[in-house]
Amino acid sequence: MTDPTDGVLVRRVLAGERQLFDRLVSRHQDRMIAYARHMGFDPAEASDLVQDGFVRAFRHLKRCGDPERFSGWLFRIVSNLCRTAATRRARRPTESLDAHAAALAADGPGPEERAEHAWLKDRVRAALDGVPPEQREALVLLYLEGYSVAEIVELTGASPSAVKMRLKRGRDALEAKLAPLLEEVER
Amino acid sequence: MNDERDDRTSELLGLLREEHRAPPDLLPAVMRRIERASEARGKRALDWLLRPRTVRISPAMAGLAAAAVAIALLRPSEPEVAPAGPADAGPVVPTVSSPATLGGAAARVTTRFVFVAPEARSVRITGDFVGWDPEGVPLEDPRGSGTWTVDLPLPPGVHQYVFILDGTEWRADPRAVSHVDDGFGQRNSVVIVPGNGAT
Repeated sequence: MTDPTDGVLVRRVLAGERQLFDRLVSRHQDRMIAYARHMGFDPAEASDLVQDGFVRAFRHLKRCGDPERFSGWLFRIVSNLCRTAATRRARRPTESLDAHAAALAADGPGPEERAEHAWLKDRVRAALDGVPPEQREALVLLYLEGYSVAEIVELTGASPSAVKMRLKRGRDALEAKLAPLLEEVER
Repeated sequence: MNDERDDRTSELLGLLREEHRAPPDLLPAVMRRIERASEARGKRALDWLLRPRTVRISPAMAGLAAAAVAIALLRPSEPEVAPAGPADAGPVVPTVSSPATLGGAAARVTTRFVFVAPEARSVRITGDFVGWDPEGVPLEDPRGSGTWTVDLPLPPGVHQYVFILDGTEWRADPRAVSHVDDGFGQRNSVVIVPGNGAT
C-alpha cells in the first residue's frame, strides 16, 4: 500500500483530520532540520525554527495554493523564518567542540583518521558559513539536499539564471575560503 | 574545468551530508503546539470581539458618526443586500452602518461585510480581528439568494481579512479599498473602520 501524497494529506487535514498533519511533519522534518542546520543554526535553534515553520504551515494550510507542492510551500515558510532569525541573531560559525568530541568517540575508522575527518569537516563548515546567505542556500540545496537547479528555482522563487549565478558565486566564495586547504590536499 | 570544480565542491560539501536529523521530540512538540493553539483559538476569537475598548472621538468624528446613525435610521428596514448578477458577483465593500456607541467605554463600529457567492455552501470571514482564526465567523444567507452577510463590531483602525468559501477556499475581496500581500503568495483585503484612534 502506497503512502498518500502530500496533496492527499493536506486535503484530508483541511477536511478535519488534523492528526494527519503528523504524517507531513514526519515526512519533511529531516530535510527542514538539515536545511536550517546547514544555514548555520545550532541544533536547538534549528529545532525551534522548524517547529515554528510547521505550526505556521498548519495554521495557514488553507493558503497552500497547490497541496501537491506542499514541500516547496513549507520550505519557503521555513527559509523565511531562517532569514528573519539570521538577521536577529548572531549565527554560530561552527559546531561546538563537544560535537567533535562525540564524532571522535563514535565507532568507525581509527582515532587519527577520525580526527582528520572531523578537522576537515570543521573547515568546510566554517567556509560554508562564511558564504553569503543566498549563495549558501543555493549550495546547500544543490549539494546537500539533493535538489536540482529547476527544483531550487521553484523552491526559492528566484529565476534560473539567478540560481545559476548564486551557485557559481557560491562555489567561488567557498573555494576562496578553502584555497589553503585545497592547496594542502593537492600537494 | 567546471566539471572538476563541481566535483570538488560536491566532494567537500559531501563531508557535511546526512549529518543532521530532526530530534525525536520535534514531531510531538509540533503536534502539542497545534493542539494547544486549536483549543485556545475559539476562546481567543470570542474574547477579542467582546473585549471592551476605550475610543476617543473628536467633535468632528462625533458629527460624522451622528450622520452615519441618521443615515442608518432613514434607510428602509430591509436588510442591506448586494445586487446579484455577473457584474456584481464580487463582494460589496464593507460598509460602516452605525457606530456602536459614541464616546462610551466600548465604542465599536458595526461593519457589514457582504459576499455574493451563489455557488457556496458556506461563507466565513477571518482576519486580524479574530486572530486569523481559520474557523472565522460565519456569514448568513437567509434568503438563499447567494448573498452572504455579517455585521461585526470592529474597533476603528485598519483591518485585514479574507472570506473562506466552503471551509477551504480563501478569497480576497475584489472590491475592498485595497489589498496587501499575505506573505504566502495570496492577498488579504483591507477595510478601514473610521475612528479617532483607540487608546
